[in-house]
Amino acid sequence: MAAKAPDRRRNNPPSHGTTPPVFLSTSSDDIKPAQSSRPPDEIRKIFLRTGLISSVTGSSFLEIAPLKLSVSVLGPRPLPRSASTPFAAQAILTTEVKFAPFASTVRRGYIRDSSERDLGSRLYQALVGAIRRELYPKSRIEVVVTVLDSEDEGDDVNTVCIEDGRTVEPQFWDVGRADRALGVVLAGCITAASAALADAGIEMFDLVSGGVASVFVDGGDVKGKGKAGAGGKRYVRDPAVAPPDGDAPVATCVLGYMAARDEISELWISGKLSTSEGTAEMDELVDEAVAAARSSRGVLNEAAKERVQFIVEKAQSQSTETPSATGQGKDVEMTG
Amino acid sequence: MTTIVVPGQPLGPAHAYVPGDGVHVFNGQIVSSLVGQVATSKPTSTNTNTATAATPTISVTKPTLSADEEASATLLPDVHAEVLCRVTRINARQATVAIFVVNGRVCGDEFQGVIRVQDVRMTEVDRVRIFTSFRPGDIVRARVISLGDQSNYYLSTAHNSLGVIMASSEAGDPMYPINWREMKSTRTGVIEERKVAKPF
Repeated sequence: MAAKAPDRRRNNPPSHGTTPPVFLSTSSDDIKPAQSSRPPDEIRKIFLRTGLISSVTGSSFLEIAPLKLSVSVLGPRPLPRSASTPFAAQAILTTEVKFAPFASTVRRGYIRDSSERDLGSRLYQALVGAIRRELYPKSRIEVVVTVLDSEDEGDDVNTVCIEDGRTVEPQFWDVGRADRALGVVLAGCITAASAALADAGIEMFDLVSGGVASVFVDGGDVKGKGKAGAGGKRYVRDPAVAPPDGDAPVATCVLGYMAARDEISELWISGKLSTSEGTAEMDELVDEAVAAARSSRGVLNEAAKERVQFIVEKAQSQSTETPSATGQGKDVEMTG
Repeated sequence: MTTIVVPGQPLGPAHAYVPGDGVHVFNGQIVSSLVGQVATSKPTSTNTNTATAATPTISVTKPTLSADEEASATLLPDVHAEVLCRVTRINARQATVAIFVVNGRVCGDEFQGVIRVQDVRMTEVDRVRIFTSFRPGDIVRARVISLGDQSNYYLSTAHNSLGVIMASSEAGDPMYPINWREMKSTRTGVIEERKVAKPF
């Protein structure tokens, strides 16, 4: 009998098998001190730089503590020549978020899974209103995000909590771990994608910055089934995956915010919020997330300017050098 | 030292300036839509009859390292743009072309366009035949007359300065124009028909 033809329709595993990755103890222990050392109204330090990938129109790289991601912007490029694409008076924006296989504790496949598609559509929603799409008819703009490292541990069901090298049962404070982790990723995606679009020279109404905030209640309230929400409510901007001091997480809010126009372009709240005081609790959570987005906007502005500043200074230094000694400079280069 | 603005940054009241490139108007304010340097230009003296003549134009431009490379990444053909294109295939109704230069700047991607038989020249439109106007491989200077349908830009060569600017003969030799409708091979002297652009 002939050897089986390779199955091209499915994502085949390697024939020789793989060794499952072994991780050190979960990041929760490492992050807890960092969390406590940071006031709840302060976001983590952001590293953001643009123009690192030369082969695309615009690019950026962002780092917030464990989170690392790079964004490429391609286009505006012509639409594919197929009969199914209709005439587009405005540019068509496509967004794609992909976790590298090694980006989270649970290894990811090469095919985009549901949470990646979800992040992609949320990123689309955050950016689509900010781009002046009417200036780029019959073209498409692609935003491709690659997450290189994150605190994400897969979804809640598959979350593996590891402490001291042993798997442990999830505790009550682990509720919404995935939401907080994905929230931080989405906020980072939004901020970095805006920087990449600005680097690409695509005209925008405003830069969109991402912000996350979580609300926690005292752990004791939940454990004892006491009067939760009576007091001890803590709002934390840019929350770590591990909640502070065993507090019980209640809800997380992620948003894309255009600071110059005071507009929220994307809003994602997950968790439980009481409605006994109307929308007061939700409003406060959104306000905290807006404040976090304002903080990251400062970094975004500087990162967007940085490369242009560099180009301007280079042009100025060249223009001052050229009249004096062009020959001299060439000679030095030749001998070296 | 020039200051650098970011998208969303207000530049001034809308009544004081005429918005140029890279800016938009929001809430009565001129707002930047690009990262770059602000430039205000004095109004041109040609239209002194209206009140707008006194207002300067404000625009934001993104500086680039190399003069043409980065700016052309976001370059798109628009109506009235002068383009250079290569003829890819022809039939009796139209010539299909690939646009690679828009307004003198090389674009990052090639755009597909068509020159329909009725847009080849201005006069005696009914007697135009595509086969005696263009051949695949010709380099054509044309003008965009419409954004066209989903896949093609519609181009026109109905002007003396528009038409074939570079072509090879059937044997593959370069040709030079001898009049507005004929080109001659440099090697064999064979004459072929083209819709020739008037050399400058």
